[in-house]
Amino acid sequence: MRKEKRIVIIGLDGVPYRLLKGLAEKSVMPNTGSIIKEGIFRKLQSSIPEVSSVAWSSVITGANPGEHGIFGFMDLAPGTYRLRFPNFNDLKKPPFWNKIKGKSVIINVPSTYPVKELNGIHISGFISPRVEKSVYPATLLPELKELDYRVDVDSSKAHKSLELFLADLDKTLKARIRTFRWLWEEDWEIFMLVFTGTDRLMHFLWDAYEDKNHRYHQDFLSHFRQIDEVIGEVKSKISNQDSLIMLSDHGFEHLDKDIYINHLLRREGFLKLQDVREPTWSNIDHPTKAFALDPARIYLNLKNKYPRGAVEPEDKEGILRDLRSLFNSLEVDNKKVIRDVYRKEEIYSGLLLEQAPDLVLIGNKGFNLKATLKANKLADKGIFTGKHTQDDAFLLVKGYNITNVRENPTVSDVVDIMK
Amino acid sequence: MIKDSQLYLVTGGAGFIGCNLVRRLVALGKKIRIFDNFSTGKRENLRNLHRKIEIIEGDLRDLALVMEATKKVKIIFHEAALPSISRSVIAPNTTNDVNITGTLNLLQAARANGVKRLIYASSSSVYGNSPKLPKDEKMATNPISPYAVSKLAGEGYCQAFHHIYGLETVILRYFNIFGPYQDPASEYSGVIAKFINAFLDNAPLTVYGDGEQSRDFTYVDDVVEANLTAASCSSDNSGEIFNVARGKMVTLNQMIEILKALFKQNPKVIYTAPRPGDVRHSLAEVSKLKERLNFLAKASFAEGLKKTVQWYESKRRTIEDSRLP
Ligand SMILES: NC(=O)c1ccc[n+]([C@@H]2O[C@H](COP(=O)([O-])OP(=O)(O)OC[C@H]3O[C@@H](n4cnc5c(N)ncnc54)[C@H](O)[C@@H]3O)[C@@H](O)[C@H]2O)c1
Ligand SMILES: [Zn+2]
Repeated sequence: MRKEKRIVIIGLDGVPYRLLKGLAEKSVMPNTGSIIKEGIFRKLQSSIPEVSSVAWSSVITGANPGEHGIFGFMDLAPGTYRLRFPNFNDLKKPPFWNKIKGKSVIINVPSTYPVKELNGIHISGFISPRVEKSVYPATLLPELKELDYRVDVDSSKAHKSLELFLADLDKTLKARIRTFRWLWEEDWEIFMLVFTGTDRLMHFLWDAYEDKNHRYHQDFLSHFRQIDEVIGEVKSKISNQDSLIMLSDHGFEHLDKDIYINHLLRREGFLKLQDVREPTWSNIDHPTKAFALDPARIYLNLKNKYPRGAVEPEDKEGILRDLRSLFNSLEVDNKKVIRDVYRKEEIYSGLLLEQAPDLVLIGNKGFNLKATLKANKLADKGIFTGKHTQDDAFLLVKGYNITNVRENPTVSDVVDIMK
Repeated sequence: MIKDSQLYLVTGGAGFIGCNLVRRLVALGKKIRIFDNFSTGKRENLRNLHRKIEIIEGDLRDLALVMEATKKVKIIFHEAALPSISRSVIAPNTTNDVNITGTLNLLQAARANGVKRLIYASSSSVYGNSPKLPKDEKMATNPISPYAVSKLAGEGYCQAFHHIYGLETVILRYFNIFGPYQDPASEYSGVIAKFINAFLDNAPLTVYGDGEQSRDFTYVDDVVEANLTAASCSSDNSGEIFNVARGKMVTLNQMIEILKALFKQNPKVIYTAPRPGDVRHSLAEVSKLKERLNFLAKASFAEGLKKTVQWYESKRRTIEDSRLP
């Protein structure tokens, strides 16, 4: 017997509201188009910062980073300048699947490595460095190997050739779809599947979307067409009792310039490295007042917090003020670079507020903020043509629970819709 | 002395110890051939080496191919084997074929092709579970698994080929080797790789028993040096057996403390029931190695562990970087 009120969640990493709307209208994504007509389709606010690890952690826990503890892809290990990637073990709030009675199938949600025991099946999404810890139960590993399942496209390929990248992207997508079909046949109450190739595709080939004459325009559309076919399958397989939630974790737009925040901090004397030939965080020198971690999280180098901490508590406010005015006045190509400078207290709440960055910056249109220490100029243009946006992710809901959708939803509101 | 034009063959060169040895030989500018069937060894272990070495993909059980692979070779480092005790318990015949027949094939081929010397990777498991510590080379052997039997049989063949055919053979009994490129599934020192991965995952550690069990953990670079020493030492040492280890014991709890300090992390440690059949302590007597070959392991356990951690961290970062756009 089929259970009633099942929930299917389909995530499309990084897909902006207006891109989905456009592809649905242009009938690249007709199935999505018909769901838009039947359901509720809204813009969704991403997390701050607008990166997948933070946003998906909020999606699955319903909490903000001050509660769930994931502030970015990288963090410094407490009390050190050693870079580490926080993972599912660092997530301090339980994901929704730990709170329901029924079985869940969870596929490819970013930042859910390493997997833990659950009532159901879990394949973690990027970054999942080791397969052995990416699949629960581990007995599924041989079959996944058979299906040629892979966590993600190898982005380093794009730096060699876009042709190779697209081939790998397509392989990864097809294997993910095979895996979706296989696991759909399991018994479950909640089925969640995230497509993450979309984010990679838009990073490297946003211009191929915008420009109809671009040589990879059709490849770009074909990726979305294949995803829409899956959405069509899902739609035909669920009943009116069930609910379908589609969403993205952040949006995307054209990238004009990469802006290197740590370069700015060095130039303005806030950041000093012990040895400039080895630009890593573990090389942060004593006089440093502030440094950044990706994408644009600013941390004060507080005394007693870091090994070479220099900022005394009484100097904190003054430095924050100086930083704010520095960021607010920053211009490149006669355009204001930074849209918002947030203090942690404004955007986060919860027990882990202490660990949060002191400031978080959001860039203006076209400006991609980055924290690498290796850059030797403030602004540059690299291989990427697309960048994340904070305010135009999407949420599309069809089914019994559409009344739960808030007027201006954020990524932390998604679990409430499942109720 | 080793001359540079000589060709070295490393069997099992794609495995943990083999690939470390190969990297060292490459750094020394030696001519190297690898023979491996990539069963437990990994191609990625040889990354960036392909242009510097010759690789023959083949199986030790294939005598004709082993003949081919040993042509023009002066020195053989015989690292290839199925190194798993549990596997040997499940399928003793395969272990027997690879480790015994395979070694015999290699010795035969070495003799036929005029190879000067073969260094054989044996194992502390030949001592079995006798409580006497430290283990010295004169002790009676007491193999208790098919794997240990197979490694001991390989030793016997090496000695026989020395005595009867005059092929120079040196036998090295490795204790618990650890370091870069180790498969966490390894039964010897896999625990080190497992713990490091747990630290990197910020996951709890699982210890079987009370954590006071100890091993003579030896850093792989020292094993590599011991092999080079065995390759260049005087012919008087042919047919001899040497323990290769640091000669010091380290408990799992001590190891965890060192890792906590290296990572500045304090993970939960879960102690569970001891695994049946696990020996409590293992320790090597290393005076023979010192006296006859003037060899002492250089790396302290903490130094070896630190280098191993760095290797796992940088490997992890490479994967992470490739997965981030
Ligand atoms: N790792 C230790 O602590 C330890 C301790 C004692 C002894 N040893 C011995 O050291 C040697 C190397 O061990 P390791 O830890 O590097 O193991 P490993 O499994 O990493 O390496 C063994 C290599 O041999 C190859 N191989 C296996 N069967 C083969 C066959 N039939 N034909 C050709 N190649 C084959 C494998 O592909 C692999 O590359 C083994 O002989 C093992 O018994 C290791
Ligand atoms: Zn992205």
